[in-house]
Amino acid sequence: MSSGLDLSQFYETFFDEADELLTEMEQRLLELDVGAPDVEQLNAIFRAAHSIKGGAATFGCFTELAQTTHLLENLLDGIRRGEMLLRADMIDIFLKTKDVLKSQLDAYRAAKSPDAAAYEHICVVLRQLALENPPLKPLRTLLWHRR
Amino acid sequence: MNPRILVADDSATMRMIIQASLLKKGWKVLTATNGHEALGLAQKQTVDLVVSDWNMPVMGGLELIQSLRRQPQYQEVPVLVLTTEEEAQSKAAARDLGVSGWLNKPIDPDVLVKLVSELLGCSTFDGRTVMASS
Repeated sequence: MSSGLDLSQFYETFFDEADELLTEMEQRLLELDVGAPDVEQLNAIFRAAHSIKGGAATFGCFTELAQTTHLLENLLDGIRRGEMLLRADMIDIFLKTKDVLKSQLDAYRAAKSPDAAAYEHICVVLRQLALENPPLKPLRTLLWHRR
Repeated sequence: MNPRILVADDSATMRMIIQASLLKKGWKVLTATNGHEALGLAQKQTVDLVVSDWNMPVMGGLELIQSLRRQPQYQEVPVLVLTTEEEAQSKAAARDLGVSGWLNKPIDPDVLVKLVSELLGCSTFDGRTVMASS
């Protein structure tokens, strides 16, 4: 990199931060009231995924983590915006995703590759969930394109 | 005197990468974990440029920039938004507040330094918009 900034010096900070965010995400998911989810809780869960994705993508070498959080973030964004209704089985999938993210993080920390089968499986599950639950109302940007 | 740059981002990793990128140019960097903290720092010391995330707890980028713009000394200070947020509505709100640039994460330190250099190079802010990613 021409700036001469070695990003690997920030790996440990990122791993520690992502670990904390995953713990917070799990706690908040367990506290959610499925029938009447608290908007602030949903925003905080979204921000955790959002933050991990941003960090993982910045380093450019944590592809599985960046992609998994990207898929999770999109779903969480739809829920917090009220475009997708939260269900109990979704929380189970999100908790499972958190476990996969944690194992990916542990693998990177140990300079190993994350479990490819677990990564591929959770991506299929998250994509399927998105397909089965399209937004309740069209996105504003889509309306703009139709004009 | 070296320019002072205020950086607001809730991610410790992002703050460290942004800070390290800017420090290499010899600029002074103040960091805050959210908009509220950033506002407090901006009251204590006048800064020459603000780099802010958009989605932050306690106080986000929009509210931070709105609050800064209400203060005479910050009405024309360049602000660069650095975020994963991509909504056109958010970008439009930023433009309305005279934000100088909107840079989407993931961060490329070279692009960040280039944009900040360009914005600091302006002796007076002329309302020009640098949209690195739109």
